[in-house]
Amino acid sequence: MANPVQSLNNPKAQHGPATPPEPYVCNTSNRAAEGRARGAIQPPRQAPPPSIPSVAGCRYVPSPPRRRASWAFRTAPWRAASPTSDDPLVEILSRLPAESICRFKCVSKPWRDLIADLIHRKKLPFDGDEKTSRIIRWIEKHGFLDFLGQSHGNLYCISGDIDDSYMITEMSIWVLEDYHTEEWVLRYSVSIFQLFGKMRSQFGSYEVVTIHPDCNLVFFVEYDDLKLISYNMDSKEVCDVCTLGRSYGRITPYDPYFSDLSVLGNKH
Amino acid sequence: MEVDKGKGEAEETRKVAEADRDTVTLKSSDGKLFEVSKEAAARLSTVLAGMIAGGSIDDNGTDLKQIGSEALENVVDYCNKHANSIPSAALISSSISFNTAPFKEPEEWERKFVDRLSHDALFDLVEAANFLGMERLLDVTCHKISEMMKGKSPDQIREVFNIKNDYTKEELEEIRQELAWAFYDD
Repeated sequence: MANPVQSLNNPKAQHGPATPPEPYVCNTSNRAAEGRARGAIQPPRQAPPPSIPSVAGCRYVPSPPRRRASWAFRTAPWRAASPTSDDPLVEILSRLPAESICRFKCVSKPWRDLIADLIHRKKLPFDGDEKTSRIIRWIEKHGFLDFLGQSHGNLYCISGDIDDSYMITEMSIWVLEDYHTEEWVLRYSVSIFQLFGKMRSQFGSYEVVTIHPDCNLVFFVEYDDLKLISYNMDSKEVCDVCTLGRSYGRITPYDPYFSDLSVLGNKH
Repeated sequence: MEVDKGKGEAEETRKVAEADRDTVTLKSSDGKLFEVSKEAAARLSTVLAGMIAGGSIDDNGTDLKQIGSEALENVVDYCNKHANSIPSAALISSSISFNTAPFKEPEEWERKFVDRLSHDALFDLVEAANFLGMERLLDVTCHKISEMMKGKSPDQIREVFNIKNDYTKEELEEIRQELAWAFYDD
């Protein structure tokens, strides 16, 4: 330990307002009667002990008998009743998922204000919109989820119906127009026969590699001859785009890439 | 003569031992005394480390009037158990910086240690750990409480923390509407 006195600076004591350290008598204390006796803490000279937030109405109150059924029966409100930003409650909240934290804004106004303040000061693990991640469920009866991507600013999902031999017989394209309703809307549905013709659908092996970010185009790779194939959802037109030099599992669309290929969009 | 000399030596040794003891005595708010290894206290508590270094440890019992005997017993128990367990790299790194170091999952003995505590004792231990600057113990206890809070409704939280609902019915409805997305089942 290089300098233990320096390490006394409790990191937690420093978030809060610069209030002087206050003696805090928690309800476990049997009152401060004997607390003033000899041997009381003499804090080291340079660094004060970490400040402990006081609990309103909780100092120097003779403690009533304790009941220990649950927190609900705490004899004095925990500081959670009026939490401060350097409270252990902050540490507890920071371990909770964003949904829980936001829901707990409904607990009380002091909690709402604390949580809003913590979010604002980025003490909690999500941004000001309070949503950096959420779970969107895929409904299995919509089919086997094959591809997830973004187009027209919406989340798209391509699923397939599988027959007994695990061949995809029908391809469906779903869009999540409203993130709040979590409702997947069916945009297009096309049978594989229609898409590739009988011969190709039977013998070929295809995979959706990407969806055009701005146009209603889905791209496939045909693995046998490494052909990039596009499907126009509006005109139902299938088009061989080019032959790829090698196999691609997924192609990540990003705007510069596709703007370079504007020819491709015009072609349809 | 020989015997006397031996006695004198023993006395000397005892004095040296007292001045250089390897334990510290802590006194709870209700006057109970607890002994804890100096090494563990200095390693686990920034506040005790500062007091040991600053010479403000009282051999007759250093007064911790903010901490009740039950909580202090748990603190001392934790220190002793910690000293007996092999400190992993995880614990060492977690004590460096509270806010930046990622939290390492409680080890098995730590989980057992907090699991056996009543809610009141757990809360009191959080406060004691915070007061004594015991980062790891604070981590472990806060983790336990957050586990208990996960998936709870605001009503349940109010009950658990003994908090008064100060929203009007209309206000509550309004904020619920705003946060509707957070009220999906989880």
